[in-house]
Amino acid sequence: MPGLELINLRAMMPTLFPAVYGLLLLVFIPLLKHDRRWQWSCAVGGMFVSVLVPATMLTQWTFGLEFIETAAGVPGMAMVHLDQLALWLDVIFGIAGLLAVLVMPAYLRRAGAYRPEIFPLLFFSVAGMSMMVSTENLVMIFVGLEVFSISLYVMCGLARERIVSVEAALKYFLLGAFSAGFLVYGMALVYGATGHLDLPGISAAISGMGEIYSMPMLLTGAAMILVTFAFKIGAVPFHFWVPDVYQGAPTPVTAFMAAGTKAAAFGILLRILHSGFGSSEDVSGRWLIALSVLAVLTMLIGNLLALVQDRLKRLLAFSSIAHAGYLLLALIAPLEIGAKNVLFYLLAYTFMTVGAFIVLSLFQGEEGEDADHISQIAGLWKRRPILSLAMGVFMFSLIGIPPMGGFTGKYMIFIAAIKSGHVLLAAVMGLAAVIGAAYYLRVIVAVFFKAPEADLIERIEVPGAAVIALLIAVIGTFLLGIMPSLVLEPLAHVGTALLP
Amino acid sequence: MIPLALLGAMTSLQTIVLGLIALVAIIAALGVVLHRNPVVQGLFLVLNLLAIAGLYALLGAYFFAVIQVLVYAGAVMVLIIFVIMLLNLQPAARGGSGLTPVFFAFVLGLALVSLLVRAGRSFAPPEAALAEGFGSVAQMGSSLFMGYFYPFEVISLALVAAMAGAILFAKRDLEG
Repeated sequence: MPGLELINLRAMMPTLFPAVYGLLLLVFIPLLKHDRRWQWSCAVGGMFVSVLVPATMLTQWTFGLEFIETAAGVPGMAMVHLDQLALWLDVIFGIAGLLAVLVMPAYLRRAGAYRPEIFPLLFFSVAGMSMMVSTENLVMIFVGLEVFSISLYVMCGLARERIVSVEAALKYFLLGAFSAGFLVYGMALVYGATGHLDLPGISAAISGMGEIYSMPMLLTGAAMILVTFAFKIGAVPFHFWVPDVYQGAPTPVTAFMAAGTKAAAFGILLRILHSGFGSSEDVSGRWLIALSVLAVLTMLIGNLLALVQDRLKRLLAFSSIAHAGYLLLALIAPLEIGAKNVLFYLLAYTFMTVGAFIVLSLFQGEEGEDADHISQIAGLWKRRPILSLAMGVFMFSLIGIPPMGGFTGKYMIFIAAIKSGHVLLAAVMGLAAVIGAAYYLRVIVAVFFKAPEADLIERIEVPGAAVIALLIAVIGTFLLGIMPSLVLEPLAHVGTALLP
Repeated sequence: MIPLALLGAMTSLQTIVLGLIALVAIIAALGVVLHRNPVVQGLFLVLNLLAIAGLYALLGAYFFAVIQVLVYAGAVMVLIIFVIMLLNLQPAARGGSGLTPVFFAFVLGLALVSLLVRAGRSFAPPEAALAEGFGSVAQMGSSLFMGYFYPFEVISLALVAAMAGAILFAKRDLEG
């Protein structure tokens, strides 16, 4: 079989490991049927390795370069493109998956929705995301998108006794299928206009075209591709699914979805924008205009709608829309800083948002329902001081208060926007961040300063695994704020590799 | 936008056939969306898929045309019609949404169609002739297992996930 030499398989590990591990897990779950602890331990271990594999490969980076050279000309392997961007994103998917899987069984058992099949599905979606970002081929991008999306649709509806969970799955599935249709149509148009399915080929074809105004086909295709990923990140006006799906899905799944999907979609937007359309100012310039409009709408509307939410899962859903807006702004900056800022912010966002969702997943209401109304967390400080502190850390980081990672990320995006001449956009971001502070502070006030009210959370159970997950999230949030250079230095050259 | 784009490159007889097939495809697609009886909608979908098979055949991809008829218009549609009949769906009640959404949908749809027509008109067919054996089984097999080997293999993950999901959603008793 061509293209299956050892070296290629090794370099495909970040994608293939979660894929194969998920398949094995699916096959062997019946053997572990009666021992939930074993099922879970296998999942945690596998997810840990899924973080470790890309992380080790990042430390010995020359390997990836070697791979790209070897793979060139091997049939089939042209579909895989492993670079630092892909490896960093793989690390983020793994971290989001690991944090989610740590709290998953406790939550699902309470919701009466424990199915061991969720673990393989989680691995499949990590594999799909990894597939989508480690390629330069439009076909593979679509295949990766479908693999991770389908797994996510199923995971959203896992608590099928709850009507909201089923509604979330159906809504996400129907709209997701619709948006995937846009992606395929857009790809077909781009292929029709350029004759290429690989990003470097597209880039070369575009730069040879000259007058872009005569190519409405290419521009329409590019716009349709953008629509799909704007849907996936929940950018306004493609955000209508976000609050319902985030609220309906089991909370650990929401946590993974919020961080993982965003990382995957932003990673591939970065790649398409620079490797695919970067060679022509005309095409990438139009994308940038569209991205700026999306960024402004998303930052403002996401934050404004979050102000009026009383349910915390919904509040965090709108907050995640708002953060997609900041990330869009990071994407607009020139490549060398843009790529670095996007990845840094995604990493910080993963720690703080997944952390906040994990705290929420611990609150149980009557009959195992989510207890996420803002009145229910009033006076949490008196009942659970340490948990409240963790919640405070995530909220402050989401606002962007100095010692936390959220601040560093926001600050860098803000400065980059000003330096690249988008002063107006930076001003909108500042305004949006101020609006945003209001609702995060509302949560903080409720937790620390309000007296407990009547309809409190029934029970708060903090299993050991949740403590570990929260510790990882808190340490990550602080580390990115206190020692950002730890990540920023290795990130420095990620962007330049994307140039065609 | 194949019809508009390829008009110039085709002989007149092909053009007529193409026009007929395209017309059938569009009418059938409208029927899927607009008809209120699920069974009739399903049958319109069969017609639409058959028309698409006709387009493949016109483009010289005969193997694809056959597969399209066998798999989609045949096997998949039988399943869909089966499910519709088993569920005993009633025709959807008329009304529901007011005029405003319909108006917006119409305007936006018109904008999209005009954009796509513009896009299609700008299409310049490549000058190179089709390769020898284009659309044959051998050619398709070699492209599946050589150039597209990796996506061909990993798409099965999506199928596995979908299958697991179908079982998780539909199985009556999930305990254990």
